[in-house]
Amino acid sequence: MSELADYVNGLVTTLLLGTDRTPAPDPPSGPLAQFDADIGVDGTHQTPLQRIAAVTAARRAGWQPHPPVAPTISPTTLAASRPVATQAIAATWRQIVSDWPLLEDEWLATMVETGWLAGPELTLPLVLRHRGNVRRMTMVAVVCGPIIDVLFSEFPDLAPRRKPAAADPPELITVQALRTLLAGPPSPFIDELVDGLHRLRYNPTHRAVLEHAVATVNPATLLPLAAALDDTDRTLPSIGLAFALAELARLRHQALTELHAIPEHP
Amino acid sequence: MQRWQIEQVVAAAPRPAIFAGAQPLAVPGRWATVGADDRLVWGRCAGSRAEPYDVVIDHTRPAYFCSCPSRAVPCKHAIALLLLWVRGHVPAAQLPPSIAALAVRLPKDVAPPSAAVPPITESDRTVPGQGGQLTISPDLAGTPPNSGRDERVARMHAGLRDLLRWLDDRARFGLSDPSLARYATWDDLAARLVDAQVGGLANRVRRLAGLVGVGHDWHRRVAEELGMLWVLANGGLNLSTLPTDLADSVAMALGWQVRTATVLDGAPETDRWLVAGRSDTREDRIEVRRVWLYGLATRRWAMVLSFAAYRQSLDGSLAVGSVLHADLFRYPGRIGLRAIVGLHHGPSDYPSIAPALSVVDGCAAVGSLIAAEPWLEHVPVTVLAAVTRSSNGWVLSDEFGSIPLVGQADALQLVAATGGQPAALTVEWTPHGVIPLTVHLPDRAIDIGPRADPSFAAA
Repeated sequence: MSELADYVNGLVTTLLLGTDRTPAPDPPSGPLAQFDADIGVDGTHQTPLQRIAAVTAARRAGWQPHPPVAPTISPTTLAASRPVATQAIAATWRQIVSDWPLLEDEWLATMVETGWLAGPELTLPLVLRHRGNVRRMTMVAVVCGPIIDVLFSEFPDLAPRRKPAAADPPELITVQALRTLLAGPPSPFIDELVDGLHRLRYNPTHRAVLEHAVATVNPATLLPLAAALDDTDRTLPSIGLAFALAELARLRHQALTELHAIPEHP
Repeated sequence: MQRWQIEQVVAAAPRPAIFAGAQPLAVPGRWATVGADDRLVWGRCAGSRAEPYDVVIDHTRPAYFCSCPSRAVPCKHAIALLLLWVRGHVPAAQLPPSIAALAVRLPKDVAPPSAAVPPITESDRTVPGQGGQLTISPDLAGTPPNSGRDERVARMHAGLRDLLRWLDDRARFGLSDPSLARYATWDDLAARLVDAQVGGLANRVRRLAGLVGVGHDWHRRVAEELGMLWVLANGGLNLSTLPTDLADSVAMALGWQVRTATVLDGAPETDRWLVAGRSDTREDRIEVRRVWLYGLATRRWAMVLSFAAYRQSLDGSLAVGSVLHADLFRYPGRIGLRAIVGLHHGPSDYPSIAPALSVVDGCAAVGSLIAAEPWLEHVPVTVLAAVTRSSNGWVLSDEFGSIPLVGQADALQLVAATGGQPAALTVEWTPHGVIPLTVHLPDRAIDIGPRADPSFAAA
């Protein structure tokens, strides 16, 4: 141990036990001793405080790096073989997680289908969010690429306890009248939903099943549906529900549009 | 020797409660080594602690010293000694050497309060070599005598002396004193510092309380921070003897408030400012957000602070990774890290290469800022390094050196964002290690700094 480290330990011991029991050690010859002489350390109880302050300031101001450490992760491991998702895609994912988590399954499946590699800002949030869900974790492993293996090897506690296995996402239950229209052209679905809201067949108690319908409807329906819902009579009791469904339709359209706009990757 | 009258003792007590509290102590059985001469009265009072309190009073000015932690000046022990004296229970005596050593710690001047204020000279109004920046001194000097400012400075000095007495006790009785394990011990001191309007020190004391008993080397950490408190308290009591810019730095660290309008009256520093990092920390009941800006031309750092109480929102206008072409107004001080963003001249492009230093140069850059203001607790730097694992934990390393990270959670975020490959990383130096704030990649910046608990304050 160096002379300075001994000195610091001595000062800490003095402050731990108190100057009534242990006097403060004298500084080693050199700048610290000179500092003592300059400020006229008076041998009072505050002497160890004066000295530890001087040592602390000197050590912090003279902050030195430790010896270099060789990288533990091979650079070739992470070579991106797929296009990296844009910041806009990441922002949309955050909005989905925050406001409309029922779109998460579709977002992940589309990422897998289109071949995007999750951006570096998304890797850890995706893992932390879905590591307890075997089905989603399977998709996350594909979306994040080789970095997942690096994370799990460096931080074993992060790995899911069970081996991920593929499974179908749960079916989103919706009302029968809309279910038959989900895969069809836009107009019948839009007419049924908007008319239902106007005639109070659908009201806020149907919120969950109507959201399911918008989350699974033919994507071509989304933008016209949002426009139609925006035009809903403002005096209707379900106007809040209509606006919420319009927002959901727009966000889903935005997510799918971003994800399908994948560039060519060499 | 002109002995006081009892009315003078009553008048000397800062509050009736202190006089009342002194009455039970004003009996000879509670005192030892009492004596008086034509200038001083002294004695050792057996108080509630194992160690007696040393009391010395200069009855000619008057001035008081007591080793108790009370913030009241004079405290009940000093009043009790005066009561003992006026009642004839203190014999005339030769000043013992041990009391002579304490007598030098009597305040140089205590009354009237305005006399304790360091004189402000015209030279206080500017800071040499700081581009005409403001100083705190105009605030100190700009109000007429006997105003609230004098009262405030006197209160601040009393609070700093109280802190020094408290530190003296800590040094005497040691950090193993069980009372230090109780948060109330620290909170009481912090409350007294808030009363003395040195909120910066109060916050440091509360942060210090969080170090007690945490980690195997907590004694060293606490000792170091007590040392810094000692430096600031002494600096605060001797502002008039310090160079102006250093005095401003000390005053800022103590928590002396500077009006926003005063700062905005200073000379602007116009640059393209990279929003290099963000860090949220809880200070008592307030969430504090530090946003670090880096001048792409001036290569100087600046810090914009925002605050949020429970259920309030922190300022999110400065997005990490963005670049703003704007005027910046710095608070006074030797470094002048804290700043306010003024007029925006428009957005600017994200730099293709984030300005990063090697690990060695980064350490030197941090060290130079700390050398200027040794009490700094957060210092930003951007280094080009890779996160990797050493035998002692996670570090940021390049081919010439490495710096340790504070926690594994930080390493996890860095590995996920960089894959362990070298990247420009903005980090915040703290006395306890380095905290990563931002990963700068060629096409984006990833904000990984500590974030406020959303259940407390919105980001």
